[in-house]
Amino acid sequence: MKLTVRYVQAKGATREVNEVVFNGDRATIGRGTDQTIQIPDRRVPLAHSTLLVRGEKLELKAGNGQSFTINDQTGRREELNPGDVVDILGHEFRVLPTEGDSEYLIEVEIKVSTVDPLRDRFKTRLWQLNFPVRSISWVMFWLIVSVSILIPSFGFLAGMDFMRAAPVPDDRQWLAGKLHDSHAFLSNNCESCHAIPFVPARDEECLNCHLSVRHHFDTKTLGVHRDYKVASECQDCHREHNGAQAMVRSDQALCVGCHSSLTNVGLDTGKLRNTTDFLEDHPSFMVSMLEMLPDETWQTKRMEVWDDDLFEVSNLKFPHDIHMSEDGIDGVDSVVVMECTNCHVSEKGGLKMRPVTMEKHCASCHQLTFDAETPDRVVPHGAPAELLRQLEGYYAYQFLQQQNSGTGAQRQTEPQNVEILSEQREARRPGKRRNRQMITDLIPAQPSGEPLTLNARAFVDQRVKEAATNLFERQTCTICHEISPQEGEIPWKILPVKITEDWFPMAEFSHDSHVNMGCVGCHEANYSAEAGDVLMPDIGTCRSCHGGEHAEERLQSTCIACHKFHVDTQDPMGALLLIDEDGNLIDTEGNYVDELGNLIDDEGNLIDDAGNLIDEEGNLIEEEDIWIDEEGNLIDEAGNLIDDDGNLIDEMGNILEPAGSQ
Amino acid sequence: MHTSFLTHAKGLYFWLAVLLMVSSIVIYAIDEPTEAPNGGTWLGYALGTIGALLIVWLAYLGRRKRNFTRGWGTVRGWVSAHVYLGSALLVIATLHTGFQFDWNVHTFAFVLMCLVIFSGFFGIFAYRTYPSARNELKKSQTLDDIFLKVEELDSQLVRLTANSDSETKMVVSSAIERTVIGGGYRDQLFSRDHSSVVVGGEVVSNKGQQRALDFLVEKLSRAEGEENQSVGEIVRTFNVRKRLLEIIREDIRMHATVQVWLLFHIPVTFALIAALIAHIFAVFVYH
Repeated sequence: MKLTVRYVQAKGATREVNEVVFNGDRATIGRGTDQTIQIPDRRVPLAHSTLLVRGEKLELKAGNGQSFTINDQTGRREELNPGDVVDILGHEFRVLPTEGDSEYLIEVEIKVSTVDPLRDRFKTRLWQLNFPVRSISWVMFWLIVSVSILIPSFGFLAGMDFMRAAPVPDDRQWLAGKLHDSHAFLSNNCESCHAIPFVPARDEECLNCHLSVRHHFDTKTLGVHRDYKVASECQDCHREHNGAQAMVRSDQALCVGCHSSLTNVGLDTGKLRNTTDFLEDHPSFMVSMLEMLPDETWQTKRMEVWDDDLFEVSNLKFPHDIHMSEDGIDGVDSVVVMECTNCHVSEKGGLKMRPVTMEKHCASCHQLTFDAETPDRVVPHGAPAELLRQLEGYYAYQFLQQQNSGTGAQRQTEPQNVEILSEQREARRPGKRRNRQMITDLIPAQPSGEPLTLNARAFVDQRVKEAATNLFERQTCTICHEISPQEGEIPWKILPVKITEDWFPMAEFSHDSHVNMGCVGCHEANYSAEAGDVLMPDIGTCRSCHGGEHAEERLQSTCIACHKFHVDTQDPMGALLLIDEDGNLIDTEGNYVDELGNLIDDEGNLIDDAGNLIDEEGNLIEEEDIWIDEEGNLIDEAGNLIDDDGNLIDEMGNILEPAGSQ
Repeated sequence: MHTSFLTHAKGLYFWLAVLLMVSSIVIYAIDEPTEAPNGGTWLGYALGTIGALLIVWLAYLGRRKRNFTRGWGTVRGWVSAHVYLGSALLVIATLHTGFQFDWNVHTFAFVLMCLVIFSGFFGIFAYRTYPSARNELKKSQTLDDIFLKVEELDSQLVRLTANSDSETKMVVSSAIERTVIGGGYRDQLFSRDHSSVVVGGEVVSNKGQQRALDFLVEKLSRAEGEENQSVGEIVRTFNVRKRLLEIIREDIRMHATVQVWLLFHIPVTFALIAALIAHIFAVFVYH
């Protein structure tokens, strides 16, 4: 095929014509530089269509997916004849009759395109919208840095309260979680605990309020400073910002750290035994039992609860088994079946039991009658001397009555002679027994000092002795009390009674939280025939329900379920840290101490109790020639008052004798 | 064989992330802190430190992976690390909190981190879904190719309507001139079509080129003989053009969807880093 292509280009009013001749099987049309007929227009595909010869005829075949218009009709594969006009994106291809030796002649007019490619006329991608990602990013960055760091930090200069009052971002946004209920009121007052920026909250701030919190052990005996090894700071056990309820560390490991071997940590006083776990490894219980010394003072004695010699001598007689008999026990009017709670009632909180008293718990059955003839009369529960005086009075009265009404008129001492006005009588509940009448109610006032006849004296002494012997030795006092004979006006001595109130002072046990358990499950009172039996349970009883921290099938109980860390009998922790005007720490005894509680002198050097300089290991460095009297005044070796410079002075501070003059 | 960033290096970073998450969860489960679990226990500090370092490193990776050739590692490797370790961060940081949340700068940082990670998840979804869907849509052509085709059809339509009556000419040429593609954020994201056409001297909406096509079809039903043929040709061509425009719009929509989360992801990442600094500052200033 020999193809002449005539390029026509409009140049103003004239036309420029160039002819190019191609030889070959086919001619390609497109934008690509390898095309036979090149159309320099961005909108035109690199390869658009192909001219080829089919038979004798020239044919235009559009490339894949392409098309063209021929004589204003769409075409994809068309035979070209002279006179046909083909349009490819506005560029005209006119087929002309052949001229010269060319087989085919095509006139091509390339239109100069003045419009942008279609795509460039639209924004088809997000990035074309110039979203200011970078600026927005930096704005957000600095906004947050300002609001959350820079502006609140200004409070360190201007005062946090000022910032909190002003309508600006303040440090409250830094609160790292809710405070414990008891500290919630401090939520807007960070510096009350965080006194110094970037310094962890110090014990000093805690002790500002908690001055009375007690030490765990005797810090004087077990070390001059209050280093608890595991818990040397309040924060080690008491962690804040963990919500409204959690504040106290309760894990076993905290205690076991020292208590697994007190000797190894140098804190063994010989009083405590080692432990690691309540179920696996905990010593059996010891009771603190009261014991009377010969001089009738009482002391506490520690004994194993399983010790065969454990017997409480309270000087009271009380067989629990008889009182707790299921068949009941004889009361005054009827048989009474007693329950534990008839006598034993816990205090509020359940930690202690209310005291059992004669008047409230015993007297309704154990009536202090003294004369079978007058079973309604009782003596008061109290001192023997008072009791004897009242008996004397009663029998003297009886004697007088007999004198007045002749012999054999004992019956006239019956109470109807002395009527008690009904208004004065206590109200009596239906079914209850009649009020007892004290014998003092029946003794009319008599002028004192009136001499009794020897006859009367003999009568009264005889009757009083009979009645008292009966009371003390046979039927009334001795039922409950230990009584020993003694020389003197009163030949009977009631031994003092004292019952141990707190058997387990090292632990806390609440009866309230165990209220659903029967009493005898722990206290085997129904088998106890003697008051001296100690009815405290041993650890096995507790272990039937309670285990250690990791116990399975047991109530998991850690040390502080029963034991307190802050021991009531120890010194207050906070008292070490009274602070004077100059910021010096002062302990309970007025000594200067450092932050660890070590004694220091006024220059900050470590000293011992005697005021001698010591090093950190407690070794003596240098003796000080300074003594003080009981009032804290400086004195010399001879005990004379001196001033700071060593001059002898009198009590008013006047110099008596300059230093070194002797 | 093509491997995606998800299966890069046999899922090296996937397994690394799984290891991080599982070990964090296991340690968290067996740890018995002496207080309620929170960012201040030893595990809390450990998880917090790992988390903070991850945040900074992943943010750097996000930037680093745009340098295609410089430095060590491949882009795919960086993306893989970014995606998997970023996902692991969700677990690590959540355990770091000990599930203590409140209205404070600490929870604020956590929330920002979650926003960044979840927007990242959307990014993964978009990158996994839309590129292949777009290829499916365009049948291995570029968007430019399709635009060129439309232009060609536009030029053909002008020729085809050269001898038509003036109203047909007006409808076809105004439909071409008033075709709107793309546009603002919402136009691209929801492929809104603001195209219009002049019919009977009035500019009316030509959404989806439907109004113009309706006019031409209606004209076709009335045309007879040769006119029927020429109008038929116009309708066919216009219909092809309409379909191509639909493809363009769908492609723009999907491309915008793949990109739009970045407009969120990056600024929030900056906010997160600022909040992270504030979080650490607040923790230590009131130690």
